[in-house]
Amino acid sequence: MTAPFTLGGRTFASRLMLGTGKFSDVQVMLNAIKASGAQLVTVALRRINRERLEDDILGPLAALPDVTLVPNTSGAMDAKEAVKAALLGRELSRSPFVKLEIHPNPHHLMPDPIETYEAARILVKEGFIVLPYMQADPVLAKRLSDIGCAAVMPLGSAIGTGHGLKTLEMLRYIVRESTVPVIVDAGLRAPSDAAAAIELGCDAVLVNSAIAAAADPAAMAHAFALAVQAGYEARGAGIMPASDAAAATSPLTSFLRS
Amino acid sequence: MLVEGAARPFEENAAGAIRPMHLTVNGEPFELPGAPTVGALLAALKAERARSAVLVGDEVVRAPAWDAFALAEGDRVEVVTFAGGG
Repeated sequence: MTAPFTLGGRTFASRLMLGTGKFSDVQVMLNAIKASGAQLVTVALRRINRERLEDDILGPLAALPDVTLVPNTSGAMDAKEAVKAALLGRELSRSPFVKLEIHPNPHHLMPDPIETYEAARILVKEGFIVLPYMQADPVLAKRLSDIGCAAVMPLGSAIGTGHGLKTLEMLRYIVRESTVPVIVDAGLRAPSDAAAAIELGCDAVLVNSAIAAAADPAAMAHAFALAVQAGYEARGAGIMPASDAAAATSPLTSFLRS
Repeated sequence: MLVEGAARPFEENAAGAIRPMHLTVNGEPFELPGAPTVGALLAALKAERARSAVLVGDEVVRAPAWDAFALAEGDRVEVVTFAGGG
């Protein structure tokens, strides 16, 4: 077990957050959430569709015990749109959490730091527990936590790429200095990426594509849960320092030499 | 930006009862007869109220206000729900 994870004054047993995008259907998504043990689950807003009947994800998600919804602001191009999205998400979810994401460029989906900062300032005042998706920038992380964000969510690599922890060096600085939880969001490909993030001191990870796009999402969700636990236990156990000089683990006496 | 329970003042119009009101709903032109409320729009859209959130212009109109909130000619309305997302 990992130690409880406290976020916005609430405590969670799981340090694995799950996104609900890209799943082939609602049941596959629900099975993955259950297998992951995730208690913080992100959802997005979209316009209602008048032409066809759609899957209801709010009902099944609301029926899951121990799951808290974290509406995101995906689609927002600037701070003003993100604030509107957050208010709409709160109406639907009745959750104080918001994953603030403003990424106007569809090519790389990199978060706009200026609009994100401005929206965060407003949303904190509106009483939200604000979790901002951000570039892995220790200066921005400090600025966002200084204005009351409950956590920072630096990216590992671009959303949906599966390029893993490309920002490792910056994540180390963020972890070392942050006074709020650090949640790595975006880019994780395999459970080993999640373990590495937790080992280096991140408090939690948010995974979506790596699980939703797996051949067996529920099995992959469970694998990620194990990896997060392994990373956390490893951190507590004290990871040995790396060395550039080899040091044998077996005796090197020359008794085999004739 | 957030409307709790207050409705806009109702604009009386002699012809209002039969003249359609022109709205933009989720980016598309939409007409409703008379002087509709958000509640009437949701009914016309067959939207499930428990799964809908509503933006009129820049204002989030909360559910308790829907049936009293009068829409105005030219209003831009967004009716949204949750979808999967990361």
